[in-house]
Amino acid sequence: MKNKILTIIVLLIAVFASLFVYTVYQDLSDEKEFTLGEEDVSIEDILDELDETFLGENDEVTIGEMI
Amino acid sequence: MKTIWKKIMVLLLFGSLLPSALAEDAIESSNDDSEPIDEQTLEEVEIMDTRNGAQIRLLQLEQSIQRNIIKGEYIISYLDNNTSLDSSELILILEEMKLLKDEVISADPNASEAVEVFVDLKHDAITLTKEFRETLRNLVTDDVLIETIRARLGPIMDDELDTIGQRIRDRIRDYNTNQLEVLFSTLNESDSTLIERYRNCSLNLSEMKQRIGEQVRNMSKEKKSLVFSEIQEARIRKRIQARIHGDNAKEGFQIRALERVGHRLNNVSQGTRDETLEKAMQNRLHEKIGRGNPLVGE
Repeated sequence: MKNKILTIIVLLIAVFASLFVYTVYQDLSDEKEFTLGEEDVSIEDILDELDETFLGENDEVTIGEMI
Repeated sequence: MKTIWKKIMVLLLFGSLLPSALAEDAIESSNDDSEPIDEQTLEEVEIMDTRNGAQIRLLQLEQSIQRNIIKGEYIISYLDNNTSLDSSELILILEEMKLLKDEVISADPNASEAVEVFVDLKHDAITLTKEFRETLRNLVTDDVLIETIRARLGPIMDDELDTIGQRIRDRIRDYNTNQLEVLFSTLNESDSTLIERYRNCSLNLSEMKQRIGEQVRNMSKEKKSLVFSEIQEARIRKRIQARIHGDNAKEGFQIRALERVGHRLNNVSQGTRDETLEKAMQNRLHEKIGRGNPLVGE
């Protein structure tokens, strides 16, 4: 019985530890994105922003299909 | 010890179910018909801070409504010529759609409430399209017939649609030219040749973006960062403004919807020459007002 309880506790610690590591990793990734403006900005980042700046020539307002 | 074990299990189970429960809530709320503004519409109103941007969105809405009217007319004529089904309900929905199109045409892009008007009229267009589709599905139970009509619809050729399409393309080019000028002022540079070539259609959008890409590529690291943050900042400002307009559009949304139906009721006689159709339209709109909530179908 004691062994079973110990195994469960060890498993739980492992689960929570991996959750903690994952959360910290995610936070660090977000922070990296946030400070992108102060560090290296790739040409792709700027081109992505430009895509948002201009309107596509075939852009449409969609209201759904009749059939 | 067993109690502790049970509590741990309950906590773990709750933890694993919580994300899926939250996700279901999010899906349900995004499908809510009474919600006037969705994410797509919020993105669309971002450009409506200028007269040109507002004109583009109103013209695009007119184009989509006109396209659906043509499709609706074809569907009704197909049913009338090939089946004995009663299409009168579909005709009424289409008539209201025509009145809606007139409202879009007469909307003022300069008005301070142009965004709210666009949100309201787009919502009506979606609701009427959905009502037409559902009425058609209730009327035509034969899937083969539905597929036959869908296949026959094909690409639509219409002079009015072509004219609207050309006006939209011209305005989009004006809008992008203006964006290009703002971008160059951000870069503290000028390329009048590029602006002129895009304005007079010698360059298309992707070629123009490619040219800007080349210019950005040659910039210093610091300047790239500055340009990136300035463009991003301008976009975020527009997004915030769109959210504010979205919140404004939600206020008094149902009252405005009732007012629009009342307005259509007054305009029925101008739109139709058929007296029976006019009466049926009046009944339909009276019923909507009587229900007190024209946003919800019968």
